[in-house]
Amino acid sequence: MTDRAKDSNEIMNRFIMVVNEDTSELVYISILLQRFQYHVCTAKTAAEALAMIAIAPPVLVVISQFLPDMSGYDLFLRLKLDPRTSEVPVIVITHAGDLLTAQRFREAGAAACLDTPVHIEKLYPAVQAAIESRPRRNLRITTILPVTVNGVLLSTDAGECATVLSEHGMYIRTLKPSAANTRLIVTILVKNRLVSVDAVVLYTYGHGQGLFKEPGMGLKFVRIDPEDRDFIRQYIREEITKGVAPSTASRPVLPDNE
Amino acid sequence: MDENMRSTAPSGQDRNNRFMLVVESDANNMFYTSMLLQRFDFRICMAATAEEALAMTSVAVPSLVITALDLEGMSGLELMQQLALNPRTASVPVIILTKQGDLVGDKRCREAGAADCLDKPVLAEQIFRAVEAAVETTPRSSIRIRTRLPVTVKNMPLIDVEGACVSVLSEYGMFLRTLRPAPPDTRLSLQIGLNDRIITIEAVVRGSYQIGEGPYNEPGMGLQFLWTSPQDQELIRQFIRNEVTRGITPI
Repeated sequence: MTDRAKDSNEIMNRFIMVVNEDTSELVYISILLQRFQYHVCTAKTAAEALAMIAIAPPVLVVISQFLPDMSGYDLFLRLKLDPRTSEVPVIVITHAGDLLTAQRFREAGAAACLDTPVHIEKLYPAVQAAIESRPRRNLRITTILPVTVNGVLLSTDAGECATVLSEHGMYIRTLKPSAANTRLIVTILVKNRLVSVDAVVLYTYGHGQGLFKEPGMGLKFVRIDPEDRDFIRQYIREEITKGVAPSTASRPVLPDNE
Repeated sequence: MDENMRSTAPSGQDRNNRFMLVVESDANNMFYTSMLLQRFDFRICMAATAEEALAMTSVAVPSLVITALDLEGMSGLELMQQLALNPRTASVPVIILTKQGDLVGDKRCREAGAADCLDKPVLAEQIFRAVEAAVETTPRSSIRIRTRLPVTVKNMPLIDVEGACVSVLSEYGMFLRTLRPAPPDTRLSLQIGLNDRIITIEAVVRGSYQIGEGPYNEPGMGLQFLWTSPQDQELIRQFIRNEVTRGITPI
């Protein structure tokens, strides 16, 4: 089997179980996780979740504090006591300000406790830390943004552009990457706003080097206007949450056909 | 400079911003169907009952509903009728999964306006085709998988042997990732390594792309197969089926 096939199987065979009685929060979390490139199974009750977990063990379980058929804590204990799932990390969504419950979960071995409503900026690093061997802290999006390097506009016609963006760095797809440690002045156009940053090249890839790596260079921002950073952060957030309820999703939404 | 910088929406963004709702009371079927759809790169939400499904559609409207006919509580057919009564969801297509041989259920669902009816257990290819037909303006007829298979071209040396590979494969064509694609309409004679077999394919270039172009944002060429031996074609079909159902085969 090729390395690439192995990679994709690893990804395809991994899924996250999300258990939440709140429909909007369930939809919100599961769609976000899918946009983070994870596969997801969801359940509204502990019984449903346990039935699904018995079919195939997930790599992570995200449970809410309250469930209709048993408490989140009871489900948590069941998972921890079952040898098939005792090693599976659990992230718990607890009510904002309920510090005692959060502490109880943490002491019992929860990977993380997050307040509801869930913030995407907290969910992403918590999931990464729980299951990735090299966890990322910042949200990143794949994108196609025109870019200039040291004042020279890269040829978008030849496919040269920023392909990955986070608030701390980006990946520029180009056949002529600068050497590692080079300092560059980079300008990108984000939603009609020109953002200019000083960046340093962390690594480069030539074509065919590294499986499925685009040829180009990974950059870390070393100087960025705080307002520009906020703007990028906001842009990334909007892109990822597009079309799903915002983080106030825990408010019950009444069916409008009743 | 500003005028030259134009922002392009990433391809696949549209797909990313839509989701399908899967409704199934049986955990095994739910796991299989939902994993399969995610492997096809669709975003999904899941509901164990029709009542839950209706609650979900009030939060966000899906681009498609795939429901089992038999559910605990309200049936898949009633769910479809409920969705049709609500102006927000009236235009959402519904695919219904029926028990094998349930011709009566099948007929009732089709008459009531189901986009499609499929027998359970549903095959990967069937559900892929049904979903594509229901939601895409230019539906794909065959599953394509992301892969990385070694490839050689007999009548055209690849300059970048290291980076060249089959990056997407379907039963009828593939995408060959290379920096120097041949122009459209070129006929190529290829060999690809599939597991431990070498498969010979005659193909024609349908599209030729530079970095960042084309359907996969990759440099290379889209190829349509003109000829493979029937045995090799079956091997390709089997390979794709195994890849998409690995670890989730229904019991």
